[in-house]
Parts: sequence; C-alpha cells; structure tokens
Amino acid sequence: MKFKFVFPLLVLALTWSCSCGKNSGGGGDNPIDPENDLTQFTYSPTTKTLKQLQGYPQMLIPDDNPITEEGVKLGRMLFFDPILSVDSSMACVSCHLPEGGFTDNQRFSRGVQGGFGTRSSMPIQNVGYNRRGLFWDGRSETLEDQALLPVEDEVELHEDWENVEEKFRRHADYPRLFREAFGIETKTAITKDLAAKAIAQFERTMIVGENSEYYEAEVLQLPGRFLSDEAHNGLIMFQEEGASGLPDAQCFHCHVPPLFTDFDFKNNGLDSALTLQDFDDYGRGAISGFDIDNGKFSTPTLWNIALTAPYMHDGRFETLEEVLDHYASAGHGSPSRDPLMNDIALTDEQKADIIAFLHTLTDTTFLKNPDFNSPF
Amino acid sequence: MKNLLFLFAAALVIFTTSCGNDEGSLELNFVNTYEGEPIVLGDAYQFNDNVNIQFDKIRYFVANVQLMDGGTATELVDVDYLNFEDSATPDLASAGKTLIINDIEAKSYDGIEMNIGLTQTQNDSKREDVPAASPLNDGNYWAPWESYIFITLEMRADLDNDDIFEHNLVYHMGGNQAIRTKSFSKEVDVMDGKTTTLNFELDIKDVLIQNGQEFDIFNITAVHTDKDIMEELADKVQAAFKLN
Repeated sequence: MKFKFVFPLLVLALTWSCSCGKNSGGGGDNPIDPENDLTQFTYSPTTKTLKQLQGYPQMLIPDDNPITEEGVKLGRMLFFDPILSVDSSMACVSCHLPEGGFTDNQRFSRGVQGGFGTRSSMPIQNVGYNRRGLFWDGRSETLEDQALLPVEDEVELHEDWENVEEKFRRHADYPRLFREAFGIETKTAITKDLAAKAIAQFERTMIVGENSEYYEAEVLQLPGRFLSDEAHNGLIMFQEEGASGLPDAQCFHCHVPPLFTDFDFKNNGLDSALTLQDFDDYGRGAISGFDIDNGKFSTPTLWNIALTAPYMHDGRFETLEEVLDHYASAGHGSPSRDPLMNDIALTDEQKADIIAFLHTLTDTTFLKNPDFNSPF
Repeated sequence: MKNLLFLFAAALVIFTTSCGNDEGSLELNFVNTYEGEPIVLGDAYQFNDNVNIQFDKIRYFVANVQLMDGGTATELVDVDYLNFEDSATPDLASAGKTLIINDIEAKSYDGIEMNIGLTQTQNDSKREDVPAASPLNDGNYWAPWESYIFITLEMRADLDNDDIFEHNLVYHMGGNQAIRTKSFSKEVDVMDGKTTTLNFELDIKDVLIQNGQEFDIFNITAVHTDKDIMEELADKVQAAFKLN
C-alpha cells in the first residue's frame, strides 16, 4: 500500500526535476530573446598556464576562477577600458600605468571628478601572489573582491556597477567576450562579478622579474651576467646581515626575495604617535579593528621600484634617497612601530650602493610587453 | 518483494555500521602564554623587576603531527603555520589557533608528537615545487638561509619603566639545525563520532627565562644568522612547549 503511494510521488518528482533541468539550460520551454541570446558564439575556453619562475612560489588560483586565454583577454580589455568610469574618462590603467611600474607616479591619485584619494596607487605587479589582502590596508581578501571597489569609489571611477553592466550589454564586443570567457548564454547574465573575475585573471598574469638584471645575474646566474660592484655591495647589505664587513641594512626582512615583499602589514615608522589612537590614517587597524594594527600598511613589492616614485602609502618620499634616509633613521616612534625598525649606520656611499641594487630590480621587458599594455 | 526489501535494509544497516562508526575527530588548540596568561599582542608583561616586554609577532610552523600507538604513528597534519596576528584581545588570545583533524580511527593512543619547525624534506623543497595551497607558502622563505623561518618572535622591551617600549627584539629561528621534535606521552582517546581536544601551550616566559636564567635581551636584540643562539632559542622553545 505504502509502495503504491510512494511510487507515483517518485515519478512526479523525477518528471519535475527533469523539466527544471531543461529550463535552467536556457532553452526548452522558454526560448531566449534573440536580442539577448549569446549562444551563437562559441564557448570553448582554453586553459592558460601561468609562467612558473625559478624560486617563485606557485600562485594560488581560486577554484571558481580558473585562468583562461579568453578570461585574460577580457580582463585586459576591462583593465584598459574607461567604460568602467562614470564619464568614460578613466580606467584601471589610469592609476596603474605600465610605464610607472603600474603606479601613476603621483602622491595621491586623481579620480574622475578631480578628487584625490588619501593614498598613493600601489604597484600591482606580482599581485597574484598576495595572500594577505589587497590595498594598502588589506581590505580585500581576493583580487576578485578588490576589482569591484574602485568602480564605485567616489574618488576613483565613481560609477555604478549596474550602469557598467548595462554598458557591457549594449557594447558591440563585450557580450561576445563575456560569452567566450565564461560561457554565459545571455547578455543579462553579464555581471560585475564576471567582470571582476576577468580583471583578476589578467592581473594574475602580471608576473614580473625574469628579465631584470638581478634575476638574470643572481637567480638564473646566466653566463656573463653580473651585478656591478656597487649593486653587489647593495645586495649584500640588503640581505646578508653583516656579511663581508658591510652593515646590515635589514631590508629583506620585509622585502623578501624573490617577490621582494612578504605582503605583511607593518608600521615602518612614518609618523610619530604617543598612543595607538594618534595616527591620522589607521591603515590596517581600520580594517582589522585591532588598535595594535593602527599605523600599519601593506609591504609593497620592490620590483621596478626605481620607476614607482613617489614612495610609501602616502607618497611622501619623492626619491629612493629619501627612503633610505628614512629607514636608516629608524623612522618615528610609536607604539606599533615594527621591531625591525632600528637605527642603521649607513654612509652615503652605502646608501647609493643599495639604490644601485634596487635599480637591478627593474624589468622593462615586462613593462613593455604588449600583453600588459593597451589592447585598444 | 518483502524479502528483497528486508535484505536491502539489512545490508544498508551493516554497511553504514561498518563504515561510519569507528572514527572521531581531534581538535589541537595552540595558545601562547606568559607565565600561564594568554599573550595579548601589545600588552605589557614583566620580564624582571625593571623590564617589561610587549609582543608584536608570534608565529611558528608545526609539522609532522602524529598520534603514537606503540611504535605505530598515525599522521594528523603534514604542516601548518600558526600565525597569532589576531591575538589582539584577551578572548582571541585565549582562543589561540585550532587545527581540526577528522576521520581518525577511534581508539586509545598513547602519545602525540610534532615538529616545531619543518621537517628537513619540507624545508629543503624548492619553492616552485611547493603546491600553491600548502601552508608553507603562508610563512617566509629566506633565500640566503635556504630555509623557511620556523619560529618568529618579535617583541619590544621597556628597559627603564617609562612605558616606552623602544628596545626591539627580533628573534627568528630557521635552518635544518633548528628543527625540534616534541613528544608527549599521554593517553589520547579518539572516540567514535566525537571530538577530543588537546591544548598545547607555549609559555614564552619559559623561553626567555629558563631555570632562573634570563636570556640576554639587553645585548642580543636580533637573532637571524647566529646558529648557536638560534639553536639555544630553539631548545628553549622546545622545552617551553607543553601539552596540558
């Protein structure tokens, strides 16, 4: 008796689930409006394998955003396209210029309506290796999250994502590119999240360093490639802690080779503060909510550092000489100043040697690579 | 038909009984303390009558964590990185860091052991060969050492009781000579369908003052490359690491 009752129910459930499956495919009983339909374009994504440089860690790729040729192509277009801004005047690249080591070389970046932020644009090379949080304060945990924020920031692109999505849908090329990258079947399926995924994929391909003087001479040890004596002395002071009779400049504790950052948050003594509440910009503390994090900011990479002036989260130092002077002085005292900030006795010549070494981290081949320049 | 249904039900019961009922979970909790009190980053702790210290960073690797049963080892954790950066409030400091291991054969084990630091194989692995999701990538690899930093202790000291912690202490331990294994002989009961908690404690006062002997924080402000001092500190960490 019970079986007789249960069996028809099972048949009904099966029938219902099958019919649901058909609808979710976008066809069947509800044909797609031809204006909205993208299925005439082929979805056949090609997996893109990232370069694995010697000595570099493997990059962590989220399972829900594998890197494809089509995704990177779309992400590159979005990165360079002012369509993301309210008046079509600015794009991601406006603050992250290839020739500036993917910074804008301004103390504070100017937004679409002339406003200025309170922090300098960050170099974003090798950003795919960052596991600690994006922006100077680490407010975004992933590149996908990060890519969403500047669009609606009123001192950046000051646009509304709903408008941007509509602009994508009306665009001559983007619907097809979204289809090719993510397999969506309709224009209405274009979302900000897919745009952010594409930008993140593009950014993960921005792997820098292999064509630098340092990498060729010290990591690959290519025949005939040597650092100058000055740069070599600089390297010793940068990382070898008192070896060869040279002083330990203690740089590499935070700027750990080969990424030349540990992506950690530190107070490097930029401002005096008697208490943890005395900082004008709380930095990491404003995100974590911990007072001990006040005054801490993300450690940036030093790749292409010679091209990314001005320096620090607020661009207060115009030259590498000023930066070296700051670190040699241990900076200003405050309760969260990093214990690695100590007086370092460096002569002007030694500072110049360290700067000579920093110049060996310039990789202009990367910066001029068409893959990382405008597709338009 | 009835017989068939009965047989199916019986098989199901036997199958689920044999598969699911002899495994339990372990919760390994790690807390840093100073004289038994959970360490809150940025708070002051008394080193001696004249000196107070504050902690800025406490981080370390644990590796090859295994339960022992006679001579047989059951591996629980290959490697994990314990970063206590959020021990910024008393509650979070007391909570410490927890590793949860499921699907362990339920029985009584007679001990647990682990490395504080990495195994030589882990430490010697080329960076590009380490899987992206490995906790090794959460720590720092120092190329000039050809080693990860196993243990990071960074502190500030107030040497003259003026509430200004201006004396920096940066102790980093790494290199294969700094590997330390800690074994605990203790009955650990992993129970069917239940979670057993083990509480590990690293009392850093016992690292800095061991057997009444103060570590020379006045003159040894940084430990990175001096292997003798690094080994001395690694020994002290090993001794101060307890299972409660």
